[in-house]
Amino acid sequence: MLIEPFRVPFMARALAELALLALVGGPVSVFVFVRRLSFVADALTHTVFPGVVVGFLAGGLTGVFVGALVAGLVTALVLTLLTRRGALSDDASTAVVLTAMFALGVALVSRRPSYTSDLTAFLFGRLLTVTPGQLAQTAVLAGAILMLLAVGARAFLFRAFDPGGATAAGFRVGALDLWLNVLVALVVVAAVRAVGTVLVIALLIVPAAAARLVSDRLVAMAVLGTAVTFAAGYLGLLISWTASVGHGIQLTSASAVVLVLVAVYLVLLPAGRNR
Amino acid sequence: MAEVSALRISYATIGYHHTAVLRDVSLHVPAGQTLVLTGANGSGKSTLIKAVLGLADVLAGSIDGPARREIGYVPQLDTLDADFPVSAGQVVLMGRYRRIGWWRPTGRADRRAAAEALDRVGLADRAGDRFGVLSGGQRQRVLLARAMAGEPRLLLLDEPFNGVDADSRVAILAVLRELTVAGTALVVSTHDLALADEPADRVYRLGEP
Repeated sequence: MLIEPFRVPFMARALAELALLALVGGPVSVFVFVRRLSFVADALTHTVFPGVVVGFLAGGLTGVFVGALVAGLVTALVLTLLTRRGALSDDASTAVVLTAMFALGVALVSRRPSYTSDLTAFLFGRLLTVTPGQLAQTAVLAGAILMLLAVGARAFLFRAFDPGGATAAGFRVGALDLWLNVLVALVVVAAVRAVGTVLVIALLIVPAAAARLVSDRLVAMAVLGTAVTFAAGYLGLLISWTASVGHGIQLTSASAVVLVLVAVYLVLLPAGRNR
Repeated sequence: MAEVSALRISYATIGYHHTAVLRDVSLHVPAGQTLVLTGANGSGKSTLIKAVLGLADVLAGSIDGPARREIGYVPQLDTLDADFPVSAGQVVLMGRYRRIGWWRPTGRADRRAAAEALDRVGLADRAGDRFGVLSGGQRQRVLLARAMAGEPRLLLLDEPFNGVDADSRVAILAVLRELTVAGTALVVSTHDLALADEPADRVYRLGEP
């Protein structure tokens, strides 16, 4: 009963995809947390959206990946430059850019006859239709993200804790910020087809936020974040499977996963009071 | 015998973005000596320290000191987030990051240097504690240990006695004395004139004509 659904190939692939995303989500979310990049992460998910749509219109499902990648990298660069000038404190202008980009994506996608289903796919992903090829792509991207993170981790930590001290030690804060923003963008790109642009934000914020409630060690937070995300992925898939197969209730699997993830956070919340 | 100079500032005008904050500063710190910078808040003590670190602009004149990696820096305590999930031991290890470089993993020698530095400030038993749960004085000592872990020739301390209890002040002063005996040059800023004389070989007052 608990592993039976995952004998079905598409369920196994969905779980494998979530396992890969959990692997990067845990550690990356720790840096999003300590650098307080939730807003940047949110911005990225919004601006990747028109990239996804343009990519899809130009090249179908393969184009989605390229479109997301280009939009993600451009946004990472623009956001780094904006934060450097201190302009990101100007929430209003940034929010205008985000909603404009988002509206642009909606406008573009609304020109298609299959508007509603396409929009749903972009926003909430197609977790159950992950192909072996996509899985391989996610694996390669996850490997690259983890390697880039491992090399920069010490510098990111120093910069997050003490920007003045890091600069004094000779680290280039602007370059580090760009590097980390690109990593966050790559996670969004890796996750966007499976869980969509809206739900990916959960993978970047909730794992570390939940782990921080029970630990103040960074490595433990990363490992816990991954474990929590994987557990939520497994449970969420199981729940959506049981709901639709057993009870005939349609439940989008990606949203089930995110809801379980948030539920874990809420369960852990009382533990955080004493920390 | 001529003194070995660790830091020499000659007729320097210092500021940010072409706006001068300090004019015509000349001073000289030999190896193994301590210069105390005094002056009211806003008199430019931090700016002078930042200029030595290359974080403020030298608009005229010159600053000659060791290479960046041979300069240690102890920032003002209140610039740091007490909720940050990082242990005291990790903070001290940050002082080694530049030496470690990008590709090499943190090695045994780095951990040993960090542990020794923490021991010298009397906090060996607090390595596993979160930085933010330590008292102000203990945090200041951790930051001093971090700077020491990098084995600097020149150490810059920005208001190291701010918010520091008497015990920690004594501990910090003792360590600073050890460092100068070992040949490290120190620049210490403080707005508290009463604290200036204790460690100083010379005092430079800012903001006075």
